[in-house]
Parts: sequence; C-alpha cells; structure tokens
Amino acid sequence: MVEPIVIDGIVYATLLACMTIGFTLILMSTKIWNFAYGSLATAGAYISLTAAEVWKLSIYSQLLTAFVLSGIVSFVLYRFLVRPLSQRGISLDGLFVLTFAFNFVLLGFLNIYADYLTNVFKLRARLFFLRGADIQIFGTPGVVIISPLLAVSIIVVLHLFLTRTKFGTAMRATIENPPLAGSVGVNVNLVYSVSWFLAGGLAGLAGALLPLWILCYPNIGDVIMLSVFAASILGGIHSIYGAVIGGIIAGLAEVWGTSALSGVFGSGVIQYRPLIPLIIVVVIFLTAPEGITGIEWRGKLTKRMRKV
Amino acid sequence: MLKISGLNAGYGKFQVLFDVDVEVKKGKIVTIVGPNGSGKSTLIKSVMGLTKVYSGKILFKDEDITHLPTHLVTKRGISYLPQTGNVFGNLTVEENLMLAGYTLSKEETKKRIEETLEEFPLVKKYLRKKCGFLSGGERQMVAMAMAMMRKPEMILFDEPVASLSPKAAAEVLKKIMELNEKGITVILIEQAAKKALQLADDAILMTSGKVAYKGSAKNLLAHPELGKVYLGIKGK
Ligand SMILES: Nc1ncnc2c1ncn2[C@@H]1O[C@H](COP(=O)(O)OP(=O)(O)O)[C@@H](O)[C@H]1O
Ligand SMILES: [Mg+2]
Repeated sequence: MVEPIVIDGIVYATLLACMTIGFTLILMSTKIWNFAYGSLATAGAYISLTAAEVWKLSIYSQLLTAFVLSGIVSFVLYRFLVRPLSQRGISLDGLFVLTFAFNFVLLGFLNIYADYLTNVFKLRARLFFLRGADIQIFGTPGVVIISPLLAVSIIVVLHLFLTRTKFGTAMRATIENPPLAGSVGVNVNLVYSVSWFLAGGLAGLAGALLPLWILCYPNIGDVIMLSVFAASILGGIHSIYGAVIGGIIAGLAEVWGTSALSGVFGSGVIQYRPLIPLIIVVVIFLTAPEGITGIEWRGKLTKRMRKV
Repeated sequence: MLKISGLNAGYGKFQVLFDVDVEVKKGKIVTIVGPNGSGKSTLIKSVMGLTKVYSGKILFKDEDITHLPTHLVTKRGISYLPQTGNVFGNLTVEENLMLAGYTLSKEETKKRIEETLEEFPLVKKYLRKKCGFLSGGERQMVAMAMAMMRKPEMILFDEPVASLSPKAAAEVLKKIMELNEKGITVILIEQAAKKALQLADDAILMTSGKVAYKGSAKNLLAHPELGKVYLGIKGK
C-alpha cells in the first residue's frame, strides 16, 4: 500500500495538470481568464456522484459523460455569451467579469442539484467522497494509476492532434495570428469553439476523478481555481506543455508542502494551504514573469557554466 | 472585379474610412498610396472582413462579400498578405504552405505545394525551417507562395517591401509583376510611392480615411500638387 500522502500528491497534481491544460488552452486561444472554469470541474464531480449513487454505474464508465457535459457548458458560455459580447466590442476586462458572473450561475445550479440529490435520493451530496466506489488495481486504488495515466494520455493525444492533424495545425496558427489564419481559410470562430469545448471537457474529466480521492462540495472547483491560476502562470500561460509541468509542480508543492509544514508547525497550518499557490504566483511574477517555459534554460546554463 | 461603394468602416466605435468608393478592374495592378494612418491597410482589411463595416457595400465579381467572415472571403478567390505577421512564425515553411491550402483537399494541397515550389524555387531550400527564423525577404517569398496556393484571382499586398533590403524588394516586386502577368489582379499598398506607381496601372490616393485621388497611376505621378503634398514626389 502506498503512503496516503504520496497518493494525495499524485492524484491532486495530475488532475490539476489536466485542468491547467484546458484553462491555458482558453487563455492562449481567446485570451480570456475564464473564472467559471473551476465549476466545470465540479460539474464533473457531480456526474461521478450521480453515476455511483443514483445510476449505480462505475464512475469510469461515465467519464465521457462528464467530458461531454462540461464541454457543452463551456461551449455554451463561449458561443452564446463571450462571442456575441466581444463582437459588440466588450473589453477583455468585461469578459473576465462575464465569466465571473457566469460562475455564480453555475454555482447556483450545482447547489440546487446537490440539494436535489440530498432531498430526493437521500444522498450526502453537499460533502462527498467516493473512495469506496473506486476499483482496485494491484491493491492500490484505481485513481492513483488512472489519473496519471489520464494526464499522460491527454498530453500525448493533444500533442498529436496539434502537430499531426490539419485542424490542430490550424489551431496553433489561430493562436499565433488569428487574422492571418482567417486569411488562409481557417474558420477562426470554429477553432475558438472547439478550444472552449475541449477545455471544458478536460475540466469535467479531471473533476469526475476528484471525488475518488478528495472530499468534494459545490464550490470545490473554485477553490482549485486558485491552484489552476498558479499552475498556468508557473507554466508560462503560452504553452500547453508548460501547463502540464506547472500543474504537476504546483500540485505537488501544495500537497506535500502543506504536509511538511504541518509536520513542523502542527495541523493548524492545513487551513492555510491556499497560500501555497498564491506564494507560487508571487514568486513567479517576481523572478520569471514569463513562467518556466519562458526561461531560456540553455542560456542560463551556459551563463552559469561560463561563470564556473 | 472588386467594387467598393460608400464604405464606412473602422475598429469598434473608431471610424477610419469615410464614404470610400473604389473600383478595381480585372487583371490590373492598383496601387494604394497615402500618408501613414490614412486608412490604406484598413481599406483592404475591410475587404477581408477584418474590420467593422458600418455601412456601404463590397462586391467581388458582382457578389456581395461585405459581411462575410474572413475565411469565406478567402474561399471566393482573394488572397491577402498583411503588413506584419504575414507568415506563421511558430510553424515550419512546409506547415505554412499546408495551411495555405486549408480549404483544399489533401491530394490537391500536395499537388499545389509542388506546383507552387516550382514557381518559388527559393522556398524549397528552407522548407523545414520555422518561419520565425527566416529573413524578411525569405518570409515575404513564403507569404507570396502561400497566397498562390489557392490560385487566387486577386491578391492584396500590404506594404510587401517596406522593411526589405533594396535587392530583396526588387525581387519581390518583380515576382508581383510576374503574378500579374499571369492574370491575377493585384492591389498593392506602398509607402515608396514613386516606384510603386511606376509599375501600377491605376492608383488610389488615401488621405484621412478618404479617397483623395483615383485614376491612372501616371496622372498621379505627374499631378502638380497631390504628388508633392502627400507623396514627397518632386515635380519636374
Ligand atoms: N486594430 C486597430 N484598432 C484600432 N485602430 C486601428 C487599428 N488598426 C489601425 N487603427 C487606426 O486606424 C487608422 C488607419 O490605420 P491604417 O489603416 O493602418 O493606416 P495606413 O495603413 O494607411 O498606415 C490609424 O489611425 C490607426 O491608428
Ligand atoms: Mg498600413
């Protein structure tokens, strides 16, 4: 049996990485800091709760449902609110407020749904945990193996999609230069819609696995968003690969950092856990505002070697 | 071929073009000249659906393309080379060419890349390089090759030689003339007005978002005041 704290770190860091990929994809393509993103993960967690407790199905069998549902909600936010408003000339700040407001709507639905599950199905839906519903793989909880596997698969599939397919190449082109992409015949709006759908889907997927190891509640997504911001900034906000690295580092730092600190200062520090992503953001802005993918590692190394 | 009438356009609420009427005939080279900020780029961006059009009409081959999204304007047979960022720097030359054939089928794209490379033999040399690493002249050649991928009927060039060395500039202008001889209608925005006017059939002079002159390029070159005031061309 693996140490619980190791599992905590692995599960949280890999799921955070999945979420950060999607969040960063939206940021790269449409330049929008999507504050409603966390609640899309929460929606995934509630799909898992419903699957396990209402439909009596394996959570893993409903991952696709979570992906599609959150993807659609994300697409709707983009297609019917973000795009029409930006076409009317709303600023990026305005759009940021829009996603913030949309998040309240999502939170409202999530709370109503939690109450519905509580009252109609007599479930504990405001604070839940589905470790008992997980499968065992070689004596370890399935989520320990599946969440890293998921993160790796996502990055491999996304990499192949972006580099080997026509639409993926068009996506990279649109991220770099939208007017030029349009001029070579790429439907830029379609690219944006697909980005938002994929990103929402990734949040739903990561969120669906969350309750297998972590205690969930209607605004858990919002709490994780702080870490997603940190991870995305750490990764340099212009790189999908940076997002993965940022997600892993921020996730591990948060879980293991809190654990180490509570070993020293007592369990009272645990409630200050959200400070860790904040500290990451501050440190990154002070030392490497372009994130880890913005640092010229080769230059740094050769400079250091020259010094030696 | 292209007919713009009563065009009022700009960015958001900021109006740049005022009542612009322009007509471009098939097979011609039309040069747009005028001081910086006079709305030259905005005019051809409007054709591509990259600005906000408040009123007016843009007809291409007698069909209304005024509010068409950019990728559909492209599909009608117009290629556009922006003033800056006319290639994808993060992609290789090959990927750039492939994207330029985005609206074509896979086989068609392959065939067109081969044909285009015959036409632009120099581009072959750096096919696997990222465009970001090319020189200005090389980049402009790639951009022109990209524009030709779809066999357009009209190409819009926004200051294609502005930042090039005289040698590279001459090469690019020569290539533009060649394309025109093949029957492609060309709209060319140029700062170095004298040179551009010499190779053009017709000319449009823009000042403060309005058309100050349209007619034969020769007449504009010879015009006693317009040339001097706006283009720095000295009279005889
Ligand atoms: N994307 C934009 N958003 C807002 N204003 C712009 C934009 N592009 C150009 N402008 C403004 O439009 C006017 C005309 O610009 P432009 O058409 O680029 O001129 P030219 O190409 O003749 O130098 C300028 O005042 C410029 O500041
Ligand atoms: Mg210009």
